[in-house]
Amino acid sequence: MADEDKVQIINPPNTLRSRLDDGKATKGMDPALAAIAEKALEDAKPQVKLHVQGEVGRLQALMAKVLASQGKDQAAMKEMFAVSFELKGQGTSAGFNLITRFGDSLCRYIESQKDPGAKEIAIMKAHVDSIAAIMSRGIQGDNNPIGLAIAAELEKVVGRPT
Amino acid sequence: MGYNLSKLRLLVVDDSKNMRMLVKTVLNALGVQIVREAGDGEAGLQELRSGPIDMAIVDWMMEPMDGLEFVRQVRTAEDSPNPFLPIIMMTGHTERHRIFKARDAGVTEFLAKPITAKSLLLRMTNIIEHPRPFVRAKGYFGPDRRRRSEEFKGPERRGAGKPADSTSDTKTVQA
Repeated sequence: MADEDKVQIINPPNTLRSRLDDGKATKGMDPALAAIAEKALEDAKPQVKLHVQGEVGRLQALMAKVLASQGKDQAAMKEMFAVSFELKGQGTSAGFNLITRFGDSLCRYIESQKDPGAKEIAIMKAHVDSIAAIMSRGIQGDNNPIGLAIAAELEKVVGRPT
Repeated sequence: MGYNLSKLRLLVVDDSKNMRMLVKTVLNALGVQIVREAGDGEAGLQELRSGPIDMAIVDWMMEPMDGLEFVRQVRTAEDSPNPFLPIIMMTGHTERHRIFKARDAGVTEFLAKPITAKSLLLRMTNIIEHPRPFVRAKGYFGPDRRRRSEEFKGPERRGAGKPADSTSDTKTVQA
C-alpha cells in the first residue's frame, strides 16, 4: 500500500467531558441554559443596535462614494460589501431582521457585479435606502408588510439565497 | 444541573468588536468564565500559543489572516499548539460551496450568523458529547467529515481480511 493512499483514523483523548462533569451534576447540558443565554442576548440588544446604527451610517457614506465615482471606486465597493456583510450577520441580533435580509441581498449583489453600470448602482442604492429606512423608522422583526414588499421587489432582481 | 462550564476555556476570534461582545455575553450567561479574544487569525494563533484553550469560535472574514487560514494553521502547522482543537466556524457565509470549503479546511462545527444562543449551545454540546475521530489523509487532516457513523455488520473486507483492532486509538486503512 503506497503511503499516500493510507488513511489514518485517530481518536485523540477526550478529557473535556470528564473535566466538565464534576460529579455534582446530572449528565448532559442544563436545559435551562439556552433560555438564560437568550435572555442575555436580548438584554444586549440596545448595545448592538447602537453598533448597527453606526454601520448603517457608514454604508450610506460608502454608497455616496460609489455613486460619485459611478462605480469605479473599487475600495469603496469592497468596503460596502464588508459593511453589508456585517449588517447581514448582526441586524437580527439588534432586532432588525429585515436589515439582515437586505444586507444579505446587497452583499450577494455586490459580489456578483464585476463592473457595475448605472442600473446596477441604482439597485445597490435601493438596498441601502431600504436599510436606512428600516433603521430610521425602527421597523423591528420580519413581519412588517412594507418591508416585506420591498424585500420581495429587490429579491426579484437579485434572487433569494439558496 | 448540567455540566460545569466554568471550567471551559474559550477563544473567540472575530474582527468585529461588537460580535466578540455578543458571543462573550452568551458564553458568560452559559457559565463560561475564561473567554480570550483576538481580532484576526494571526492574533488568534498567538493566543493559542500563550495558554491552553479548549474550544475556539472563529469568524471567517478577517484580515490579514482569515478564519479559514487560521483553521488550516491549527490543523497542519508544525508548531500548532493543538491540532485537535475543536473549532466552531461562525460566519455569514452560508452558501453550500463555502460550507464545504470550511469543512475541508478542518472545522469541527459550522454556525451561521446571525447567531442565537440555542444554536451556539447546540454546537458546543455536540463537541462535548459527540467528539469526532480525526482523519489524516492525502490533502486533509481534521475531524472525520462523515456526519453519520453506522456500524457495518458484514465481514471485514479491509486489509486482507484481518479483523479491525478495536482496542487501538489509531487505525490505518486503505483509501
